Amino acid sequence: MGIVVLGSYLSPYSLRVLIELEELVVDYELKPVNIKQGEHRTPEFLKMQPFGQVPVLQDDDLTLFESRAITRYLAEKFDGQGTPLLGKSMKEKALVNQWVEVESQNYDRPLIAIVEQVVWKPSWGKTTNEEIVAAEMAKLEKVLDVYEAQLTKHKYLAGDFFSLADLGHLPGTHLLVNIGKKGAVFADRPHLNAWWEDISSRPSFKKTMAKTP
Amino acid sequence: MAIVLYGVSTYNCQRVTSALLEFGIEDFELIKVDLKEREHFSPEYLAMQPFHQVPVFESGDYRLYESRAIVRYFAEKYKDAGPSILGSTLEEKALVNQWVDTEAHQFNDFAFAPWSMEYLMSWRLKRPLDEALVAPLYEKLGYFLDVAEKQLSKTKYLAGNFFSLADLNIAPSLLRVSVLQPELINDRKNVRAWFESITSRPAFKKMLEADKGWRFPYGPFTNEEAQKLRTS
Repeated sequence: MGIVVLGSYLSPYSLRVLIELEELVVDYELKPVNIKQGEHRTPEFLKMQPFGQVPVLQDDDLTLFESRAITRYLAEKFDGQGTPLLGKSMKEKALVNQWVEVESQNYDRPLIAIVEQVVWKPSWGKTTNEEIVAAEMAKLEKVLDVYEAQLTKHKYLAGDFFSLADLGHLPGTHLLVNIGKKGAVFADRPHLNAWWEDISSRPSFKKTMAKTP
Repeated sequence: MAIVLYGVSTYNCQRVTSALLEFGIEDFELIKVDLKEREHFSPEYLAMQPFHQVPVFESGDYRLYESRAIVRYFAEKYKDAGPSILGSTLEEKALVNQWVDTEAHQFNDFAFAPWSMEYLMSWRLKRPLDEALVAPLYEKLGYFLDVAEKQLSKTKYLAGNFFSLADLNIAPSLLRVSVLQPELINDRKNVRAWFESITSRPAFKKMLEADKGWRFPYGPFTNEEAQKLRTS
């Protein structure tokens, strides 16, 4: 049957999986889930994903949710084809995992809070709460300072190799910088900015984003 | 190489300590980082963990932070010490990771962390609980535990019939749930049995002993009651 992703081009978490599939050179089918119409809350969907979220992966008998669990599974399954994403030695792999956690725990939270205010709310006809934006930007900038320091030492987050850790940042950062127009905080940090320019010029990212409406 | 763990008492530090003990590693140094004194903001600490968070794992020159990355590293490194808590097949590993991430997001980020933080703050600052904050988080905890209840009617542990990283990661947090609002666990038959099982593992008990300074700080518990928790 092959890889099926149930998701939405509107969801950075879905996009994370799709970008990775391009990196791994794996064919897939995207089955769109209509978030606006609440398709992710129907009883049928909740049977697959009890928390009502996208993406969901189907690979033959396996149904899997949580985007970072999905990307980890795909990287392990297709290890040896496309771009190596996990690191080579046990220590390298652990550093990749560390930065995946940093993205999940420290980077994504303020980023999504800002994206909600400056991208999603306007698209729903609601007003941006500038106080929240300011507060969350302050938090994000502190995180970006750490990233700038790290990327001064290495070309990518876990070392001098592109990994799952860097890939995970692509869709959210695109929303923040390109759609939300909050790129100044990247431009102010030369190594961070160079890293962003580098990873966002990867064919896997461009190809996936070309498919989004 | 001598193993050093920086950070004690918090649920994410206890996660790391219990993981090391699961693999039969008892020879390590546990160093307290005084969060109240803001030791985690000192230049020395920031050089190790630039996000000013605990815990940190150190062995010689090699350092790692983020508790879930640390325990994953232990699970890989000490894979041969016993049955794999990562899962054995590709599919098993995927399901373990799915539940590890579900604990991290649906349980911890959306519910447990802000909920338990409010209890801590109300106790520390000697003010009433903000019910408007706590009530929806309590609901979310309940929803997660309903999902767990259903899963645990099919499998003995979260990701299958084997103890995995997902169960290990959640255990210290569940201990706090069981003390703060025990009915969340006790009213769910499968969750209760699973909770008893994962918190009575020898490694978990050893962890509570090793973390000698630990006491349950969320009150209103007397030191006697907290002591009972530690040694039961």
